[in-house]
Amino acid sequence: MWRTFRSSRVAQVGSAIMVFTILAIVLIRLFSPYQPNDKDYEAILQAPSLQHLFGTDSYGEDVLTRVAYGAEVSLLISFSGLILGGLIGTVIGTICGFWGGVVDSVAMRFIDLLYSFPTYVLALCLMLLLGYGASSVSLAIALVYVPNFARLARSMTTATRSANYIIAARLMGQSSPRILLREVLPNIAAPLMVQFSAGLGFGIVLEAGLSFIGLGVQPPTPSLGVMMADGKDYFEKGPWVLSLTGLSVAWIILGLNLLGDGLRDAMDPRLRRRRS
Amino acid sequence: MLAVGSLLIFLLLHAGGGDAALAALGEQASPAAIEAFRAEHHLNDPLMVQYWHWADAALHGDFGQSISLAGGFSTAQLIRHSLPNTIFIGIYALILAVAVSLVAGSIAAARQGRIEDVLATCGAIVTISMPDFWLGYVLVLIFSLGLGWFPAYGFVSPTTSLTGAIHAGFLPAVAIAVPMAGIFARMLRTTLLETFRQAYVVSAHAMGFGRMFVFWHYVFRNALIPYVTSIGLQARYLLGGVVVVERVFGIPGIGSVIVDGAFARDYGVVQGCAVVFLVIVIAVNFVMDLVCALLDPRRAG
Repeated sequence: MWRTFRSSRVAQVGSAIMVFTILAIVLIRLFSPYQPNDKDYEAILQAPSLQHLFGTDSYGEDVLTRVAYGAEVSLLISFSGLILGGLIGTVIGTICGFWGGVVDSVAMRFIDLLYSFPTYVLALCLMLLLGYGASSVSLAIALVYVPNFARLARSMTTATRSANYIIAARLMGQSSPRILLREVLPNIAAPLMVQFSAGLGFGIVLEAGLSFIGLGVQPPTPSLGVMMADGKDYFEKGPWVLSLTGLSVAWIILGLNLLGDGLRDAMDPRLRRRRS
Repeated sequence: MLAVGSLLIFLLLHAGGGDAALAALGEQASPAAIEAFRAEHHLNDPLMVQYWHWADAALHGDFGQSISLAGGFSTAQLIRHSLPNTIFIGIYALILAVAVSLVAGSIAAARQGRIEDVLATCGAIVTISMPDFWLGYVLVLIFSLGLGWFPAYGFVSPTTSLTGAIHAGFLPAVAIAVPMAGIFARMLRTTLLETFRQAYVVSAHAMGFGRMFVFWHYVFRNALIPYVTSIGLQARYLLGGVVVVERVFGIPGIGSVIVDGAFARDYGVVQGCAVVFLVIVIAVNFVMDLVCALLDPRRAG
């Protein structure tokens, strides 16, 4: 599987983009002459130049430096949200799929319901409940992704339930939790990983969108969404703030999407056979 | 499903304990005024009683009074005025996305591995990666501020002027449609390629039917079913995007209403809008199921 992943061109490009991005973030943090909150009122809203590659914003802060810090915040928010949503969703999904019955039908109705709310509406309601801020955004991403993971984990678990190795484990007298952890989970992990990598990109979009309308991460925390929200206020005078920040967002998401695609191709045995 | 959904939203929003009375009257309001406000809006009743009051009224088309500063309007009024705009933009974007993706997906599949395929596939992954609200601003920068073809801000309601709405709504619709088109095109390409390999398609080729004939009569129609299903599944993301994009372009749609409601901590408005959104998603999926049944007579049963 690892070999297919490495030989896929999609995965290569995706990895290259992500390595470049992470390297850029680290280098900018180490060597940038500016700090993300360095205000320089003599250099406000300057167009991109050699001193400020991405220009400056309305406080004279260097946009590129802020993007590097903001990207880290946004990635962390999305990552933690996906981990949490993935864990909860997978637990619900595997339990429902493994035991079935009344619990299954009730829980899955509930999951279907969550799945029917538009993403931002669900996130917005949760933000209203928890208050704005980075950790709430993380939880909102988790809530949006619980149904995705639960539905996927359930369908995969149901498919493995009658597989021979599960029956064998049962006949050997293994307890159900043990079977779930040792037999079922490793066998359904691959698609869940793919869902995770695909969700990582959308988590960033969700953070950016929520913060953009002012209901997500709050300034002065430099998340990418906050910076874009800031940039829209003086869009006509300094379009580069919003445009270039957004371009960085699109760039990161492109890298994550390509990685996810590569992962999916590598893990899908049908596709693998076709290629060779 | 709807009842449970509305109850869920209701409980979620009330569990927060954010005080609507404080939000509406301001921090300096006297305790007596707050008490009166609470009594007037049934805020002191147990939650289930509150829900019952609300659901009973909602079924009669009454979502309560907006208690925020935007007040004076009932939530139902707000929704009624904004919903047509949202539906218009949504359908507009959907038409654009479907049109583009049908062409791009078919070409990519038909010319698999050639330059057209590579271009379409790369284009799809790039467009999927763009946040729609950012794309909205870039479109404004190019087509409104640069070329002056379309208005940068504001919207003409389709009820006042349909052509005006099509013109003013073009950029927001494109912003929503572009990432959608990418997803749809990829979906269509994959299902088309899978259908090409089916035995009945191979035998149709073997029987000497022309390429185009086989494509239209054997492949396309069958590949369309998963494609239509995927549109239904995307409704959740499509409408999510509408919420933010309406904000970007200042479209007075239901997405703007729910965001304003959230800013004002106006739980009644948020609740009403959330339920309406839920209804829309369920309705879209229902329509897509109907379309699938039309395409696939076996399912119509």
